Amino acid sequence: MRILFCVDGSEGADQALARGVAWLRNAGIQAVVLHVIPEVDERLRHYERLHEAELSEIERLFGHGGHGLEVAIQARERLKQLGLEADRKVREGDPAAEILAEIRDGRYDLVVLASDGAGGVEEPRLGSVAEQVLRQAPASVLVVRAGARR
Amino acid sequence: MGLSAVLAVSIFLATYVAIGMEKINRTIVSMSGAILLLLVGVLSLKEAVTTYVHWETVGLLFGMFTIIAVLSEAGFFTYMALVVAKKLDYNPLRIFVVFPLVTAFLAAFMDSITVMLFFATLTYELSRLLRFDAIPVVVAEVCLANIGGASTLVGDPPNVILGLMLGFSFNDFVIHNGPTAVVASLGAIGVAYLQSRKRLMLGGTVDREALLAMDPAKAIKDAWLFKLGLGAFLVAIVFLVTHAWVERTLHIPLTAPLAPLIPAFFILILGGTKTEDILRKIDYDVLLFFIGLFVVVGGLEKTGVIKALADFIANVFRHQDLALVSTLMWFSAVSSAIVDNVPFALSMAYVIKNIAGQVGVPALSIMVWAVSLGTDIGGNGTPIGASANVVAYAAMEKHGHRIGWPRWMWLAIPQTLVALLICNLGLALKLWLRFY
Repeated sequence: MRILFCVDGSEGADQALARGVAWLRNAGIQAVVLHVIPEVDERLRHYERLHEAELSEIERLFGHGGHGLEVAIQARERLKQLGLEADRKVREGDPAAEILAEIRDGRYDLVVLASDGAGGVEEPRLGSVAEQVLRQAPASVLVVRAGARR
Repeated sequence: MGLSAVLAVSIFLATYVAIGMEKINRTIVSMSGAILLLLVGVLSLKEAVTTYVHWETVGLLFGMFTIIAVLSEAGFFTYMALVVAKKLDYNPLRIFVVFPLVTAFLAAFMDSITVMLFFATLTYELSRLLRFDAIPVVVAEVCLANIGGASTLVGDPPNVILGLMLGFSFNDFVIHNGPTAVVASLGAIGVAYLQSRKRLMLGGTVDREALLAMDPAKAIKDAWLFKLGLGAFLVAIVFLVTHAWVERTLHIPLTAPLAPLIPAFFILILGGTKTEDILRKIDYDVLLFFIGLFVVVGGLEKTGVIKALADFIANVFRHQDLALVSTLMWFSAVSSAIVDNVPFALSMAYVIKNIAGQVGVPALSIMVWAVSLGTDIGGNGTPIGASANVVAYAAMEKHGHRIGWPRWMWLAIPQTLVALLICNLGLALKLWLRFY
């Protein structure tokens, strides 16, 4: 069974990992952790290009190799602590579109993600990414409610 | 309205809307508007270049951008933030209050976009290790950077335009907008603190050890460039403060644009192998954006559209100084929250210049302070109100913290309203004291 865990560094995504593993432990799982770095505004890209070396320096000072990779690495470590070995992937673009593309490319059986992610305020609603994935994914989707106890 | 005026208004509005829609790069939009205006014959190329493009503004911005590029290349912003965080003992609540005050101070003298690019990134990195919510801190930093920018001639591009086009100096801005901006900054950070202090901490394991082991001095990439950049920056400020006196007393034509241009070219000469890197960091797009806008707005001025608008405003508000000044400030604030504040400030510079020539209206200076405060601070209200907002919002999004318009507005609007109320009171006090 191939499972895709979608993460974005949020508390909700972390809970989704824990719940997903608790439910699916020992089921012969081949897991992949995916983080999609959202497309950023062109004006930010422009200023990032102007100050590229200094911004990389900040990442180096704070001891990581870029936020996207960092999120995926941390999520993989978290899964390892929970008893599940996983590969990691980072894609860039629209989160829902990239998750759906990865589901199609990787022929996953199950996708695990949080109901609302890093942008979610404390309101119990389905995030737009979760909603789009739920509607369009050619695989089963496990949406874990952020803050849910079970 | 003649055909030329109709064409000028149409091209101006099309440019304005296209900039607001952000589908096409805003520099391309403004230059296209300018070229179209030349093609339809509203302005000749000679007229555009010699009369309407305000080269003093372009020169001053080029000088400031060069000095900031050197400071960025040397690692100044990272060093500054890390020194402040260390002095605050990496206490999140103290960082929440002091970081925005630091961005206000820096943005008073530097381009607020660069300040926010670094501070949003560094605030996110600190929040990751110290486990606090970076969003209210970054929103407060943006709000205060925009308020701080209102306090000097070089703090925000609208001030450069208003000041240089209408003949107000660095010291005029410091004396008249400075105290108002300081009180408004304190008011805004007070509101931010009351809004978010209880929800700042996220819980989880705090990694203070990693921070305590970090030496801020390691952020300095090039000690020579660091000293050169800081020296040039201080010289530019000294020149800006003293240039009017030097011109008047010593008869040396040290104009405001030359104040940053002289140290800027000095560092380009002394920068050695780094000069190429520094030149690559200068934001030429913004300079071209300004040049295009000067031409587009120049079309409105030449065809008499601005004069007609100014006459209308003067007639409505004749002998009602406080009402006119307050309306100018609030109208500027609301407009800047919705549309780009640079073309707005440019149009308003012509409008208030035309109003000031009439009977029964307040002095030009108090109208400049009203438009400047409104334009600089009003942009806080939405994530697209100013370029610094766009950059900070997108930087947070990139780091996985999508703020969203509702949360931005929920955090920023109360801070902005309090700051604007303070500014309005300040302007009323100035009118009452006849100190403008």
